Amino acid sequence: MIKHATPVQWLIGAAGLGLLVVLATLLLALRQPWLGLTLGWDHGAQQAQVLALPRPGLEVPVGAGVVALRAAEREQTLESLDFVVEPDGNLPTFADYRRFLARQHVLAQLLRQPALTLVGAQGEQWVVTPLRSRPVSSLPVDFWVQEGVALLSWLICASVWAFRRDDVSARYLLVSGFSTLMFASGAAVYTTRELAIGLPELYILKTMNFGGGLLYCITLAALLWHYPTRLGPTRVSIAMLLAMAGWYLFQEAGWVASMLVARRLPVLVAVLMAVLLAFVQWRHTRHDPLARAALRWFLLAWLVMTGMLALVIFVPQVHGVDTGPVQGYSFLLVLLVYVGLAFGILRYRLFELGEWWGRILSWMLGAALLVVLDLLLVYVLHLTPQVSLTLAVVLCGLIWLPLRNALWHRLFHRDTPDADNLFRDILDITHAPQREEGQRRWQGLLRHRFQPLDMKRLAAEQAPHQPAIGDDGLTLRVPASGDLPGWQLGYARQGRRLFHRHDVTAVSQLLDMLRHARESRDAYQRGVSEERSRIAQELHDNIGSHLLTALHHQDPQHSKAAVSQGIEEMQDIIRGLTGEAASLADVLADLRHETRLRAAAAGVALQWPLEDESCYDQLMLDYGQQRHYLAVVRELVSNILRHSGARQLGVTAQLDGGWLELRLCDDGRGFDGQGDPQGRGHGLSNLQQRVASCAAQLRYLARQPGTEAVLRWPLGPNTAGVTP
Amino acid sequence: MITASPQVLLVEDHSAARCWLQDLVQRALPEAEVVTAATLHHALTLVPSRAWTLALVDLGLPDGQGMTLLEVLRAQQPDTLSIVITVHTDDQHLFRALAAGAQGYLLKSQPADQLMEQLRQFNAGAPLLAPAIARRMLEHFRQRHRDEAGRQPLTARETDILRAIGRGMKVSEVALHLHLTESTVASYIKQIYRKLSISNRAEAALEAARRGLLQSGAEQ
Repeated sequence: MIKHATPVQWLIGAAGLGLLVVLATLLLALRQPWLGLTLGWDHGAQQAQVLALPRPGLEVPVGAGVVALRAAEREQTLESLDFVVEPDGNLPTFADYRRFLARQHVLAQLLRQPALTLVGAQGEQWVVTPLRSRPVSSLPVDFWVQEGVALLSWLICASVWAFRRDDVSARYLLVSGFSTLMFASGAAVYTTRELAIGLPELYILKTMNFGGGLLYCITLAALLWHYPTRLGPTRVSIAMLLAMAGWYLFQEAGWVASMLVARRLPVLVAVLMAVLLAFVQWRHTRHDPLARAALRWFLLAWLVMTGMLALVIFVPQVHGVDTGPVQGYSFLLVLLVYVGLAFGILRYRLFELGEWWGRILSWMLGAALLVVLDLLLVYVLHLTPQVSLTLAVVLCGLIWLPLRNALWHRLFHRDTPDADNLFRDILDITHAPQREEGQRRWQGLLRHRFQPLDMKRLAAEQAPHQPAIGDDGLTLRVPASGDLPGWQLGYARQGRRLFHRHDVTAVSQLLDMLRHARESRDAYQRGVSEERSRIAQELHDNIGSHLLTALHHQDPQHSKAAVSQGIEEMQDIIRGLTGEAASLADVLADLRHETRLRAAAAGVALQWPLEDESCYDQLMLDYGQQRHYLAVVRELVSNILRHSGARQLGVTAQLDGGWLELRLCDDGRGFDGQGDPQGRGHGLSNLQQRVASCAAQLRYLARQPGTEAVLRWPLGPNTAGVTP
Repeated sequence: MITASPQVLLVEDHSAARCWLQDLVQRALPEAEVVTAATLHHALTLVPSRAWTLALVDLGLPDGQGMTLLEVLRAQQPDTLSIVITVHTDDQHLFRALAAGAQGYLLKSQPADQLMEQLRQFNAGAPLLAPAIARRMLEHFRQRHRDEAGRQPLTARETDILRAIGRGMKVSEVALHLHLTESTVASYIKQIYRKLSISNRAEAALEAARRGLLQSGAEQ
């Protein structure tokens, strides 16, 4: 499970760890017994003095000198040593340090007694009952400052590492953040102690502070071994850390007499090492402007701030000035290092993190704010028991709840994929006027759907054939589709979740839809061009052939007839392009009318009786069928009118199964289907060809007198409508 | 309508077409006197000059619509048989012409023998009504009946006749089929034409009123 955690889950875990440490130190601070008076060392009078009475109801006068503390038959005089805020750098030797620790322990035990007597300079005695635990409100500002620095620095470093877990520099950054967490939170407790903290707590806190501080210094130096360019093998930087660890143990064992040397010297060494490495990195990156920009910013943030820290804290310490009281605030400079680092990341893409990193961080801080808001509510309610419950509930409803809801909504709002517009979006992609537009829209759709933190376009050979998840769910590779290139998406839903099988299915579905839309678009375009070709073909074959006949035939009558036919065909084509399917009844009706006119013009009487044609009403013929049918029948009629010499023409039409049977009976000279023996016309063979191509049947029967032409036309699956 | 010497007014702007149309009419009706006009303006001046039997009008005249001439003729000489000549085969144009008062149409693209035959029949009193136009009329009146109840719908008899013609029957067949005389059928058909033009003119007037135009029955 740990292996498959998303970066944000790691970050949440880290935040939890940070909170844990902060809470633990807070609890430790609160668990200390509290007198409720602030004592300070008066260097002039060489005695302790009551400076303030934060706790109401104490009878100790402000400004009184306190010489010793007494409880349960034990008495301890107070020395200036007891009021040292920060032992490191302010106590010259380890002997002093050990004495300090021992005295603190004794004082702490005295404070745990149920009643404590303060012994004044003139022998006055004031009895104070220490509270078992310290109230939260008694913690001074610099306590919170230091804890805040600890937590925020840790969060910033952890958030960088969460997204670059494999990067060595990021790991060192994490270690430095951890070290800040340790040294700042440790210092927060003991530098704001009221009077004393006992062992082993004091020792632990001091270790946290000193160890953390050492680690901080050496980690930044080790970081410069790897960032922005790698100067050598990782062994070297690990060796640096180990060396520092070794020194720590060395001085703890007491091998060094001077505490100043033991504790401040390594810091100096580490800083100098860092400076040296910074110089080397500077030289190394002179040809790489990007790396140099990254370095410059990092160094600016770190060096300047650390330098100022050294100047404000450590240098005065060397000269014997106790900088303990301002130490807490000076930690803000450390925080500024990390804030500067964060800024550099956003501006210069340090660690190759982008703007989205800032968004994640602000999201985390928002979540933290939510928790704080809740705690604040609890705290406020706790403080004011007199306030009526009604008022509290009203305030809660009016202010706290809406505020919290708004914050919650902003942080955790889930975008469900917009299925309504998906159809339109897919069509917009495949029917985009330009290829680039379509590609852009596809990218937009992927981004909208999965909200990845980064998207990388894949070259043709890199794109997979199927959508695939990689890097344990951190990346999703989308195959190419038609014109659209492949993509690699990273960190689903702003890094809040991993890609899983559902996303693969979703991508497959999208690709399917795209393919389908593309195919139908292509089919449509193919259809359009096929239609155009068909029209061109018909124009050429039918009208063209008639016009050619008209051009070359010697007989002007024949030519005219050919032109007429051409015009008829043209009108048919036009009607077919603009008209709809016609019912068989209408087609026959028009045919009857036309044939009568033609027959009358040729002096032939037409007998075409009207039968019950209601069954024809339902049968529809599409344009193609109409054209062919009309052409064939017209040709037949023309042949009869021209060549048969008939005076009478009888036509009957009937439906027979799936066929329309048309019988044309003339009383002319008879015809055996062979045509003119001189073979000057090609009409008959053309007619037979046309009939055959429509899967119809035409045969001639000899009737005494005359001929009967029987045309059987299929009304098969092509005919839409009800077949009787 | 049979006159000893039919007076035929032919209005056609295309000179070649005017030639062969004149020739056609002369061949179909040898006794006829054919007078030609190339523009609407000229035709309008000719209208009052004699009693016309037959008027053949091209729809697309350069200086105006042939419809205008039809309306003038109908107003001044209601007995004249007017025929529209055109190349347009789509129903819309023809239908509007019929609604404007024409009693038939001829397609220039038809073969000469068919055209002559049609002219002869027309002159003999047979209405020139193609099945497609009859069906279109049926549809028109059905629509009209649905839209506005106040209009004059077709009577059942008229509907039967239209339907029969729509099936491709000629007048004699229709008469036989419906047990009427041919002249009755012919007069019914004239009645149908009148109704069509009335309904169309009324519709056009309504449309014009709606659009605030002065002219009625004007086509674009």
